[in-house]
Amino acid sequence: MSDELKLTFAKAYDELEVITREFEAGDLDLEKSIPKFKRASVLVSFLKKELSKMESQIEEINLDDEAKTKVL
Amino acid sequence: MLDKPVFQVSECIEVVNNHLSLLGEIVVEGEIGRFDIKNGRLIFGTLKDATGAIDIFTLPHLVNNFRQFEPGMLVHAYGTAGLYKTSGKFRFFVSELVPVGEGALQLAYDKLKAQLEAEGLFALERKRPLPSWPQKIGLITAPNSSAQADLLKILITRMGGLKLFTLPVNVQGREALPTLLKAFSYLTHHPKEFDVIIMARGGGSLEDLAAFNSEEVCRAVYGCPIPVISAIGHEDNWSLTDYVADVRASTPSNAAELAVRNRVEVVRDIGTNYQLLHQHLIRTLKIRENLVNQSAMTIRHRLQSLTSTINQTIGKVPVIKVTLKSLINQYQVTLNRSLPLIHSSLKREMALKQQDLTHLDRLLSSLDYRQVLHRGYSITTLNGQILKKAALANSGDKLETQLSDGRIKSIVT
Repeated sequence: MSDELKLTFAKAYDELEVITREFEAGDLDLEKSIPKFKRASVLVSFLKKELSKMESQIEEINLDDEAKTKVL
Repeated sequence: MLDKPVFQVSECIEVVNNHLSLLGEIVVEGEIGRFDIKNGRLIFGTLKDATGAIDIFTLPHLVNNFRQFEPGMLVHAYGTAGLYKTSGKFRFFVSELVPVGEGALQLAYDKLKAQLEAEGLFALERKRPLPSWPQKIGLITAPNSSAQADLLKILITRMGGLKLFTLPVNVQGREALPTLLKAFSYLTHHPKEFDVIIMARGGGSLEDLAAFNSEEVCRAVYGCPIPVISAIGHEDNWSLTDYVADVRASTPSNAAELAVRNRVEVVRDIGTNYQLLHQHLIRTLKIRENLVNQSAMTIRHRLQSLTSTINQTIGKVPVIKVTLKSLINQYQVTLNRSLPLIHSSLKREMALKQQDLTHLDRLLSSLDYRQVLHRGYSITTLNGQILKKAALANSGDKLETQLSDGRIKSIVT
């Protein structure tokens, strides 16, 4: 689950950067700009939502047993 | 006289060894006098101080980074004392050898640094880029240390959704090396469970940081399948693991900042990007709108111009009509005036031609040969040809003579 989340977040962020670079290059005509802007809006909403809700976890690894034990 | 026990030589050696074994492991401090490595398998040497010297014996795999040792170095030798069974000579069997004093440690550090650098462990090309969005982070730190506390606090504050794994190690002392190696062994066996590793400890002396300047830990960092951020010691003093690691941080806090992006900055960057896109779109729309307006205006002007031209042309039609009518009238008048004149002229011409014709007819009549025949002349032909000379007629020729009222056939005699 977290791997999928990471991939989606990373991919979404990368895709947003690509769209921004395309707009800055100024090569897009109106027919392509509007759907890309709509896609960018979707990506921005998703990224902001993900950033606001993510909680962190801490675990200590037992090097002797090579098994995760304590959750701090 | 008290009886003293009598020992055989080998018994004596054994008894002395038994007594010495009661000492257990001791630490001897001394300067290395000799340090010879035989065939890479045995190490013989001496330790000495101002007044004494002992022979030492050890195996390469027992001495961490054995190549760093050289005569003159001050060391602590951990080991057991004993006598060789056959020769009875004293020897100190070393289980661990550690350089001591800043001078020795600095020498060892410099020597190992040069060696590892020559081998390419510090090479920039080998350093791997850190992942952009790490989620699973391994922390090699002393448990409950300020380095660990700093790392955890800053990592959690900067970014959410992280899974932080602490790998507890000793960061100094005799247990530092083995626990660090155990941690890296774990990482090697679980490479997919981590996105990045942070190894951190606070400042200390060269002796405190000895494990992080050891060949074994350096090679473990070099061989780690996961990118490593090393934050060992003070800002200006680099440990050897700092050189080997993929990224070097000056402090544990700095390591946390290098590992993850700040959530607040990311949100701000996303917002900025969105603003940029919005502005670009508005600009593109504006440009397109202007183009459309310009085109519309151009079309409007052309239409107005065309309409005006057409109206002007239509306006000219009545004038043309009047002009045409006037022209037609003029031609009519001219025609009416001309016709009688033409008629009478033609008549005159015809009369003249008639006169000529009559004249010519009379002339023709007067030239008619039949009028000549009426006056008594005749035409004689021979074989259809008019005979003009008598000499041309021969006897027996058949002649035909035409008179005014008929023909006579004759034969020449």
